Amino acid sequence: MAIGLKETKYSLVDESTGEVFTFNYGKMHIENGTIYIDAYGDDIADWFFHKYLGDKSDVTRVFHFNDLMGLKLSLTASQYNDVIGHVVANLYIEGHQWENDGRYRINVRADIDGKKDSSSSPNAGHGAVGLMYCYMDNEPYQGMSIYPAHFVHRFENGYFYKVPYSAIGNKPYYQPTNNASASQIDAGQYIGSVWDGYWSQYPSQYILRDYNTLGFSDSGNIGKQQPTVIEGFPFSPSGDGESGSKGGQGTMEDSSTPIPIDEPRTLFVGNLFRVYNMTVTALSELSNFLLDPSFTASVSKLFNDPMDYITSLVAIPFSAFGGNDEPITIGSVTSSISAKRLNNFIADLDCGEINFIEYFESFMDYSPYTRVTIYLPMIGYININVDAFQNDKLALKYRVDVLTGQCVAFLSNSKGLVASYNGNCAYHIPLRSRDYSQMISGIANATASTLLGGVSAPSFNGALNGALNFKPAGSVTTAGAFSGNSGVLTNRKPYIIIERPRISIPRSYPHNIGYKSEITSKLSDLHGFTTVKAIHLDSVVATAEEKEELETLILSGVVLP
Amino acid sequence: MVVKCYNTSNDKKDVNKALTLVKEVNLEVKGGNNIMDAVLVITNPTEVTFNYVQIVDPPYNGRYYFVLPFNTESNGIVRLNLHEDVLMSLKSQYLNETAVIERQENEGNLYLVDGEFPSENRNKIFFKEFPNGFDIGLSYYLTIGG
Repeated sequence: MAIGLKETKYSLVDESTGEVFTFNYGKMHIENGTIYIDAYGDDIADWFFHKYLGDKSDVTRVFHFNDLMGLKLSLTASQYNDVIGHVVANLYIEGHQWENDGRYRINVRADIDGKKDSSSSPNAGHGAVGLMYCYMDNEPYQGMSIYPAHFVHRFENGYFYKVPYSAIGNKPYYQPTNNASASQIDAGQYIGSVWDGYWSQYPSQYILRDYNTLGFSDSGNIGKQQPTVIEGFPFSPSGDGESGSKGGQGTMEDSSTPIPIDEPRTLFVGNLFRVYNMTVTALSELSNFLLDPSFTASVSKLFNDPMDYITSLVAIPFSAFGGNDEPITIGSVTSSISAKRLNNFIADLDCGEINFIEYFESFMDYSPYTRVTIYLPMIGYININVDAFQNDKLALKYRVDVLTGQCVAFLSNSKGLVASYNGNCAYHIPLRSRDYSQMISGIANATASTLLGGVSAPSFNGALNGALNFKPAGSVTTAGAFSGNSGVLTNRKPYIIIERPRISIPRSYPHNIGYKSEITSKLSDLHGFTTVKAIHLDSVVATAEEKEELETLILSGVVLP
Repeated sequence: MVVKCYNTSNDKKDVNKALTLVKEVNLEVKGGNNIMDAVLVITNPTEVTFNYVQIVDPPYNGRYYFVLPFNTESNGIVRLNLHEDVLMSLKSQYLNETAVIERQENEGNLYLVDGEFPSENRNKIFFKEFPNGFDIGLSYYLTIGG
């Protein structure tokens, strides 16, 4: 609409159609793509462009305020003190949307130029039509009246307020453009819709809560507004906007960053040491080689004992380390014994995944009612939170370090890494007596500190969400963590243990007791046994005693037809 | 007053009660302190063949009442105590109200924790194995320095 408009003194002409539009009772001009409106006079028009039909008294509202989106409007000061104050403002309409509290917000950015004055006074004119959120320098601007109104009004904290005109008993009304007498809003005129609460159930009058705010409907037809009851909407800000935020305006932003398992690091050691994957035959041959006098004579005399060249010998139930066959070299002597020399000391073991599908399809599928313990080879029994894997997968991967025998088990679901646990998967083979002594000592110390450890029964809150008659899922397993060489003595394949409650629901449970519901509903939309948590019998015409008994019965449970 | 006398076998909790009309008579109705309680005066005890009534005329205006235990006086007059069935009397009004529903026969959310669910004192135990694990056999790794 803004394109191709040509200004006249009191109207706009759409050059493409030739239609003429005027802003009632206000001066208007366009300059540099900006529409300037000088609102003044005793009879203040509202924010509508009216199609000019040649007769000022015969106008038809054509454009709703929504149609002004994208336009830049400038409201200049007037010589009349009672018109929106002495404000010169360029208004940029930037959008409009429904707020979560049921109000309709029109975002207007204003560049204020000049003295700011929010004063106004009652005068003949139309009622407020908008809820304006005004910015100045990107900050909400207070104290600027955007719209000439029928009543004393103010603009604070981004909201437009009006005071009921007392002469008509605190009800909103409008002043028609060419009608000097006041009319009630019941006439269904366009002035706007009222919210901030809801329309009264009584059709003959409107009960206005905090009656000082008006707003638009978004249909383009301002009128009676029936607010929408938002099912499940968790928050509703209380109080008025003047006292600051009362919460409930959280972003509800649900994005989640998937956390992958990092790739294993590569350890480069050159020829500082070598790790060989030995067969049993190669081990036997090597032991003979080490004791051969020709070896002890040939090897450089770094050590008195040839066995000092051997750093360690471990047995690990895992063989996925990469490498190539080559003769075993000890010191400066290359033997004729071949073995795979490892080129990577860290490798992954993918144990696969288990899919969790809800067994009950209810709250009982989740903690603490369903409990899962995972047996991790080389580590032990671990309680895991079933909530992280329910209706998802539980994937398990080990990362093994051949140098130390340390292993880490990674638990992940489809969204990423959830937990990791460490253990030791190497059986250290003592090559000398001191090695054996140290090993036994280490095992004894480790066992003493981990006896029956590693698994702790989760705390069970029996009072969670009211009385529970479920047996707490106890710990089936009592084994602790594995330490020292014990890991390789246990089962090699991981598994999970799932404990679930055994429910016993009678067939007539739905009809006699009903399922937990926690919904908002009209009673006539429901059938069968129903207990109500809260109800207001505002529309019931009955004695107080009748309403009291009725409410008691409904709250205790009735069978709806 | 015009009184419609019915029999019903429905529970007090039922909003809609199936009523079998026994008779429609003119009876003396004595009001109590409020509209919810009334007394029917019946001269012949054998006429009490109903357990539910509707009092048509003002001020009762069609309200429904349960027939409570009654007394027979020495002169044979029976005074039937009535207590209003507000669920039936006001049905056309309150069914249009919106409420927060706590429990419902058909519109339940089983993911809400429900302490009313009975369970036995024995849990079920399930085992599930992962597809892969460590090798059954051992691999030997020799680390040689230098």
